[in-house]
Amino acid sequence: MQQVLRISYRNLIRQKRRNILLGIAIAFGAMVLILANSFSHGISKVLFERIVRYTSGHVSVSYMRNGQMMNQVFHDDARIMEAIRKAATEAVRSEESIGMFGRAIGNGQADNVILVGVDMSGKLTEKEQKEYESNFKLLYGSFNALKDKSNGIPVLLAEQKAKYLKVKMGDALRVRLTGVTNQMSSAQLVVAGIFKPANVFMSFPIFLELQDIRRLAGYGPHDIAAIQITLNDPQHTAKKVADRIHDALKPGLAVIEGAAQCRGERADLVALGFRTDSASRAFLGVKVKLAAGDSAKTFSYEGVLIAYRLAAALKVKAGDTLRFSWKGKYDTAGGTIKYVVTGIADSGAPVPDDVLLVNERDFYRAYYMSLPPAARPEVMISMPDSSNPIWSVLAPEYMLMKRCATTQEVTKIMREMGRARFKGIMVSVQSMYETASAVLKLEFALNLITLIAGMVLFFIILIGVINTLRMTIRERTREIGTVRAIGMQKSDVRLMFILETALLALFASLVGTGGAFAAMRVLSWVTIDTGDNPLGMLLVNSHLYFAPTVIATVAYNALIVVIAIGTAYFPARRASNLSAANAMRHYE
Amino acid sequence: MRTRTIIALFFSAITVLSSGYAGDMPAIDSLLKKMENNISISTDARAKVMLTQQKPNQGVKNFEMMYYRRDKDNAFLIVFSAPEAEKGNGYLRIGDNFWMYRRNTRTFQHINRDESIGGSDASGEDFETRKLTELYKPAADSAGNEIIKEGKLGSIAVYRFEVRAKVSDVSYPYKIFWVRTDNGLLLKEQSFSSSKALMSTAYYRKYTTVLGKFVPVLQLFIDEFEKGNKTTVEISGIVTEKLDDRIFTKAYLENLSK
Repeated sequence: MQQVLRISYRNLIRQKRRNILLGIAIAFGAMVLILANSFSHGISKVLFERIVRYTSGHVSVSYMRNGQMMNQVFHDDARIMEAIRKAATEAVRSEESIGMFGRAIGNGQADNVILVGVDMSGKLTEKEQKEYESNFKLLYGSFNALKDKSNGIPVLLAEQKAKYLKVKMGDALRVRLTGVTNQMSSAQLVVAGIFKPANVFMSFPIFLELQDIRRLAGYGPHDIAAIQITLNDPQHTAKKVADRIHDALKPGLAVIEGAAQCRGERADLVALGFRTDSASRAFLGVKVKLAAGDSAKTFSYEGVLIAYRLAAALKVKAGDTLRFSWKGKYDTAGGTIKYVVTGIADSGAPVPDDVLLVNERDFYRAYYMSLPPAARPEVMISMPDSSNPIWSVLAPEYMLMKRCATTQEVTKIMREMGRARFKGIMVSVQSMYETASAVLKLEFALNLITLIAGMVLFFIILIGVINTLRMTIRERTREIGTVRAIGMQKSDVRLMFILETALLALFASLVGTGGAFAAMRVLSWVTIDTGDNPLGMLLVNSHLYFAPTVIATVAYNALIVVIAIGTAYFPARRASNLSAANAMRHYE
Repeated sequence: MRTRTIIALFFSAITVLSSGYAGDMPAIDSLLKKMENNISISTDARAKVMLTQQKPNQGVKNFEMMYYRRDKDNAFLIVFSAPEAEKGNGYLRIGDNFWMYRRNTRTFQHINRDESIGGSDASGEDFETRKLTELYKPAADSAGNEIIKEGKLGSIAVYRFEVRAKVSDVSYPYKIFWVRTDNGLLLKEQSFSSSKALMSTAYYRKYTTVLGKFVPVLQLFIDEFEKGNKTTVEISGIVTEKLDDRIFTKAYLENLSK
């Protein structure tokens, strides 16, 4: 084998000019393949690491209240953070992510803006600090100026946005936005920094400190916005962490323990909500018979149904208004709300004795007005469970969306949820692989295009390889006859030619790899100004970004060698099958 | 989105403002109650609505639409007849279902009843008949007195009173109303953001009576945040006869748009 290898190497350098030319062609093909793959992987990395990660984190917990995607609020921060703490042990950082659409007025110029909160409370790691610095290349002001509230609410904005709004450092910027409860909010902001955006996505938002945007958007002290979780090893852990958080957030039945007053009577009761989609209302209408009241109204969007015994205790009649009060989990004053009773359940109806069943809309209004504490176990025992016929139409604490596999599935479910007209909060747990599966597909498509283009290129190059090999064999036919005559085996002859081609392919692809890395370095130096062109998202700080990987580089080199061997096999076999006598007689 | 905003303004107007009231300096709560008692027009109705929108550097845009309302379930249908770009587009709400129809694509898009439509100013409350007294309570000064006083709006004697939101899910947490002292008609309304910045001013310049209720037929909405934006709403041809149920169907809206 060693002898054959030596012969092959010697033959390779014997035909220098021909092999160098062929090597250059193979090297060029290898360079294009590796360069293109690094570029597509770079795009994917930019999208994942710099865009998806900052917009949704490696794992995200997001909400939708009243079917509105912009109402990113959950009213029990402890519940969410506890689930994350227990389930996401790999988390490096968990932070609130708030982005609110609004209208800003600068100096005589107005524009639509997105206000984005930046959490300045925690300590940044060195890596994070570097990332922030590369994302916010400040032309004026400093990143830490967001903490200085002496002149008002400080903000950072991109130079393009500042130019459009005609504002400079220290200028005031008025903004109007609709908060998470749909309440109109306005504020005067102060330009504390103008930066050069690292990519096109960074040129739209106006950045301000998280606490400032929380206040502007109307978040209460125990409200929590969408959470973005950064992981150490997202490629391997993101999906698992998302699954665990999802399991930890399974909702229970929404229950408000309180007391009601009516006609001078007082009674403790438990308020439950019922779903008001058509199917649920129809189902409830069939299962629950009324002792009094209008069934059309009771099983409607405005219905309030009271249990038979509770109605007797409170001396309530259909049409009466009762005053319901309860203690809050965080708000000691609790909440008070008035309900007009539209129906009284029959004594045999599957409604527990002390229950007030309220339509979903009015129930959740109360539930979120002052979030009740978890119901006592002795109360929960008497509550309907899955064996009760009405259990399926009762309102949950919140609706947990099922885990999805792709972005399309997420979008589809969101649309379905919107149509379901759920009046409570919907919670969704997603990893970056679901939120940005389109990015993965984009990378796959780019890689596929690269591979196909590369293969076409190689097909052309390999025709050259075959041709060269055939010429070599033809030229060396008598030599083949000689070595066969002095005892070289057929298999060694075949191996000799295969090794010759393999060595050529290996050297050439290594040179091509070197060339690819050199080209990447040179291309990365070139500054490209894309302005507001969306293609700017492919750049980092106006430079092309390449992300070569060891696996891809080795794989492409191996692929080239394997293809070369495959191509050389048949001519080599043909050469080895020549009879020694015929080969020695060969003359041209 | 622009059209939706206009529709929202229109609905704010007809929902909140068709009120009648007479009396001396009252408590704010009683004023609000009397206002809301006069809000609902319990009849089917149709009317022509014209909106004139003015924006700085964008000139004037006119919109024209037909509005149909069914009393028994508060269903409504809106169909645009002008400008050409909007002609045939419409909105249909029946029960908890709310659709937007686009003539160009001949498609209905389902909109959540409580949804802020397309992220515009049009919020759920514009399409609901929630009571003023459920949403707002009297604002009090530092001494705990209700902020209400008698004054003049132009030459008309009015009560000027302030209210603040009771609940969090209203667009404007603070409002000031100017109502006539003689018949309780609302003439002016200012809406404030949570930081008490004036966001919009509405003037109700002309009323008509329909079945004993007041309907504002000429209204002016001024955007105080973005100066120069204003919208005028004119309602005409109000007819209160019973409307055919087939009007409140998708098919009818689709046919109208052909």
